[in-house]
Amino acid sequence: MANSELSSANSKWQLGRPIDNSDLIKQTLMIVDDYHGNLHAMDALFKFEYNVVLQNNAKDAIEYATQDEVDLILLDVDMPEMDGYEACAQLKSNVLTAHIPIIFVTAADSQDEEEKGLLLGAVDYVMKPLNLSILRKRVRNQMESIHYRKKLEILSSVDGLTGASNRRQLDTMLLQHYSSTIRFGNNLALLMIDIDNFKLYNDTYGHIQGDQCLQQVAQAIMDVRRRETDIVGRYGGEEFAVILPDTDLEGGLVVANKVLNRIRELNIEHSGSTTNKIVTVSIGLAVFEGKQCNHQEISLEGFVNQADKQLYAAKHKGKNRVCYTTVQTSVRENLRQTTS
Amino acid sequence: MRSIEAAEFNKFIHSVRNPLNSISLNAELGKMLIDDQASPEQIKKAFSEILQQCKNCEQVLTDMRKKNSDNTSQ
Repeated sequence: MANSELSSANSKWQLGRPIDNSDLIKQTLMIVDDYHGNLHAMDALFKFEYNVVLQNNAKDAIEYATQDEVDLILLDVDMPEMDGYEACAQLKSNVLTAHIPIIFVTAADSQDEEEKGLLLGAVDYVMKPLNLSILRKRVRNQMESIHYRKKLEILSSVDGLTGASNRRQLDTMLLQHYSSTIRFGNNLALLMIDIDNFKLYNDTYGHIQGDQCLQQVAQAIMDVRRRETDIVGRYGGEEFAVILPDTDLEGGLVVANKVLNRIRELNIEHSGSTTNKIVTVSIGLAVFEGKQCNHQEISLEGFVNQADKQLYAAKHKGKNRVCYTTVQTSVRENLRQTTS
Repeated sequence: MRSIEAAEFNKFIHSVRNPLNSISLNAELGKMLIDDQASPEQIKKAFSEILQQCKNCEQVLTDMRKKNSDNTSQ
């Protein structure tokens, strides 16, 4: 989850607000037509509103769409080598491109042809000679829908209070990275982070201030995150998780200690705490070493449980610290711990 | 009409339709650019494209007539 995307979404997007041109400027419109004269005119029509990509044949268009981000395709039907229908079928059968809406642009004016195009999955069908004013509005309507869909995708994966990934997104990403770790034999580190004495914090300061505390802690954890691939999520209540793909024990400990320090530096008063007078966190770190583990010995649930066990160990040892394990050592029940 | 002739004929239609569509597209674009008070260079570009497409269309028709007369004389 790109947190920068989220903050941008939260500040800019509100239901019911009309979409400015500035919201759509970065959307990519790919125009596929074998005739240069048509491409030139379409480019002139759309280049000020969208990032326009021109392709003069279907094969190159498909290749581009599988490798780069494309929001909408204007696809000519009548092209040599591969026609628009064939190109549409290929795009729709590829998981990487199936979601891209396609508007057919064609000189064929029979209802059968139009039906064929729509059955293949096109969202619209425009006849040549084109009425540019209408074409521009049709493209804009599609771009607006795409814009809202993208924002909804972001919002549905985010925890509303803290801005971190929500539990569903966290579970999805964890499964994805766990599978990839097994497949490629990489490492995977998982941090389970729990705010110490949070019930007492709520009892002392009330739930509104409790929510503010959760937001500050979440932001501090997200500030520690350095790579786009690292994921920070709210696991539930006052518990957070950080997924660190391709990270060994040393790397996991660096992040864990940074989180511990960053939370301490927040210096949030916690007079009701039984351990410290400021808000602190306890962290359980588990590292799955893909090359040295037999994944049949440990499931994803088992891996998460290992991180949880370390979190409980950190609590048991006095809180405000990290305890860690690698899965291979945990299998041998050789748990280690450290304090920071 | 034999299938090979039909294929040739369809190719010919495609070759004529392309510049015609482009002429129509650029004419409408020129109109929009004038309405939007675009720069003279942009408007000129659209009209230059129309002239070029007229030439392209003329060339396709000339080629077709030559091919047809060659076939007739054989």
